[in-house]
Amino acid sequence: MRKLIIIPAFNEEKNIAAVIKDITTNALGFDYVIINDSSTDNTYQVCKFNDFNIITLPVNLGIGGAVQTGFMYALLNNYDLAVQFDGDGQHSALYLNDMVQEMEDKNLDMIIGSRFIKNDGFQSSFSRRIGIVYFSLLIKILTKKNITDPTSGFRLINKKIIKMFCKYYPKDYPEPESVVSVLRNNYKVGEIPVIMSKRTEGKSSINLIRSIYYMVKVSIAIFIDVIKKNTRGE
Amino acid sequence: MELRLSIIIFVSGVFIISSIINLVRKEKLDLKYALSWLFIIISIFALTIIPGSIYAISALIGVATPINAIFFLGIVFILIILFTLTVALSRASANVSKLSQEVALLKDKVNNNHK
Repeated sequence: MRKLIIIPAFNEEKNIAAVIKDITTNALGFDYVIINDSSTDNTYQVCKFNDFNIITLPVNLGIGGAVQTGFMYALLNNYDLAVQFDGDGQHSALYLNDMVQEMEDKNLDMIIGSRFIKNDGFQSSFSRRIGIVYFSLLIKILTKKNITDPTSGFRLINKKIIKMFCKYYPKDYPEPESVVSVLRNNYKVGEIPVIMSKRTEGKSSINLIRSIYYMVKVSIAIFIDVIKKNTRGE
Repeated sequence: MELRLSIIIFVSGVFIISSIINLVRKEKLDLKYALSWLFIIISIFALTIIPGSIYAISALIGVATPINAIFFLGIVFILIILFTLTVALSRASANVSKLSQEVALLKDKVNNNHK
């Protein structure tokens, strides 16, 4: 089985080497690709210097476009599984094999690494937690499924979902909306508890001022997704 | 506001909102750009439905007749949307030229490798 780790990176010169070290020591059997989303710092130079596998986008596409590039790379190179793994050191590669195990044991299509099953580790800021609870509730009402961490960017998907995401993946704030479209297409989604660390360097892409815009936009996106036709990539 | 006018505004508003949502649903319109249109139409809805709101606004911005207040607000909104469109267009054309340059350089590299 071919497994790929997709690492979207925008200005992560300080974190990227540690992230790759974590992957190469803790995630045996996985390949990785860094998608450099036109970073303006030395992310590219750091990766080239260390001989990391990197794809650089000529224009900045945002998180959705960058991750989708990774899914296209996975499809093109015939990977069976792909996992999104943030380039800022929030995620730990120790969980990757557990995620694969869970997917195989329960025959699921998507596994989300959730901070809110055991409520261990860094729990995100108060305002973000309100958003997360709200999106969980919205998803519960619309799809009747429990997703404890819909904004988690730590997600493993199989080939069917890779194909689906290659066709359409939201451009910004893609996580909650894409979970809904996966559920709406009757794919099975599971979660395993993970511990995430606080970002070591750099700022989170979502600040307080943008929170309201984020909530409104993602809510409308979720509502519209529910009335879309099935987009199963088969 | 006169009932007939309210009904016309309401019906056309419903029509416009549903076509915008339909375009987003078909992935032909970015939600990012649809949001400002939805916001404007919903504000117009609010003005039509809440009685007296348009008079309050005209008094607030110092316009004698309510219909002029609507024209004024309409023009302001259109200018805002046009401006954001110009910004978005500039970004898009910058991206296109960067992509063209990248493709041209890659083409040159590929051709040289085949020689």
